[in-house]
Amino acid sequence: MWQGLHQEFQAHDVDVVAIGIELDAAVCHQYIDKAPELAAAGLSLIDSTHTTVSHLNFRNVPMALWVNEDGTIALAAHHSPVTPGWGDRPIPEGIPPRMAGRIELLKAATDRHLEYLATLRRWVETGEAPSPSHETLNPAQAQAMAAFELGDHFRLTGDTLAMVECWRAAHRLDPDNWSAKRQAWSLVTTPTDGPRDLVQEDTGPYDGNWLDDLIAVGGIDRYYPPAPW
Amino acid sequence: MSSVVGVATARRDFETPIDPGAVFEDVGTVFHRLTAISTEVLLSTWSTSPGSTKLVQMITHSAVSADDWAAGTGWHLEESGWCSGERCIPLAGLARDESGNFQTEELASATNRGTFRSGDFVSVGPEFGDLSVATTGSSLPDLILQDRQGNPVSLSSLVARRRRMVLHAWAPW
Repeated sequence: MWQGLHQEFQAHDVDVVAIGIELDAAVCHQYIDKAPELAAAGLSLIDSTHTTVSHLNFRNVPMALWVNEDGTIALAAHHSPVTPGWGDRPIPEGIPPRMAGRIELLKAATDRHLEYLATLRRWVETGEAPSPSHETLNPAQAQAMAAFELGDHFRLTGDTLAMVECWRAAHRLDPDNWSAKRQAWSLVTTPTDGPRDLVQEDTGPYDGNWLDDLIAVGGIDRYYPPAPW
Repeated sequence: MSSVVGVATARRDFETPIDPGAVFEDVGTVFHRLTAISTEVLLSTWSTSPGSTKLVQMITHSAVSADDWAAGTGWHLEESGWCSGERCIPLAGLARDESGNFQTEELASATNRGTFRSGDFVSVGPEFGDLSVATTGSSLPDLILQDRQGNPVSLSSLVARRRRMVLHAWAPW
């Protein structure tokens, strides 16, 4: 979808830059290869240090940030749905109860993709961006990002116990940083060289998992927050 | 020894030796990130702009030298205190040890940076509050990412194209 938007936006001199957030950069390759036009244009990048989480506030995916020609930010990081949600599609029969519970949560999300696409296209065509509410990082969120960074240092140096200690703290300090949570969980639940585990149920030494954490914080709007305008 | 400055120098001039024990990630013509485990400042993720190198996040110990802090955060020690751009905080109340180093967590708190300690290490995270992460109307931070081949790509090189951009974040997890 984003490669299609990139093609559509060329008439207005607007590029889509895709950024894959993943500590193991090689995991991104198969996905990048599915959008070869972006890669060929040098517009498909990998963030293997979560620096865009800390410095652009990409605390989940999909998120986007719009940039003007002069490098100023036209709209800070925000949830960016461009495809339909679950909507009225039925939950498949016979799936495990917790999988069904996960889909129930996703079905409860307000489908905002048409509204988002209209807002995005208006900016592309006219330069008119919405005015967001005030965005800041609070101390606990900044501390969580420091903890995640230190945990990644321990990961790189092979100190798994210290890594887990740091990442558990990061999750506790900022329960809405789904990038930090899902990255840590995926390293536990994805078998070596296997397909990515998106269910992330048995997350080993970490305290939570996708379904229980989302219920605990109050539901899908904390995962896919409404537009900040 | 001002290890951050040394690392930054090594990054700019690739012939400069780097301390033994350094661990490199994303090895290419430009080091995207490195972990110099035998130095005082252990890990730095930095951004660059033409003619300068600015580190934006670092891991260090409980005490940090003025030079390291300046290189790691952009806050410089001046007569009036610690300053970043037009902002300054007074030195009064910030303790220094016998080597003249500052307490990392105390300095971080005074400059609105999040920190996290584990063992001997203190990680200094991004700034919080009104001047925190990339807000609408501010300049895009110049982060360094990598392309499909592992080559470093700076966001400033994309801005230099003078085209509007939609940065779209995705993940395999």
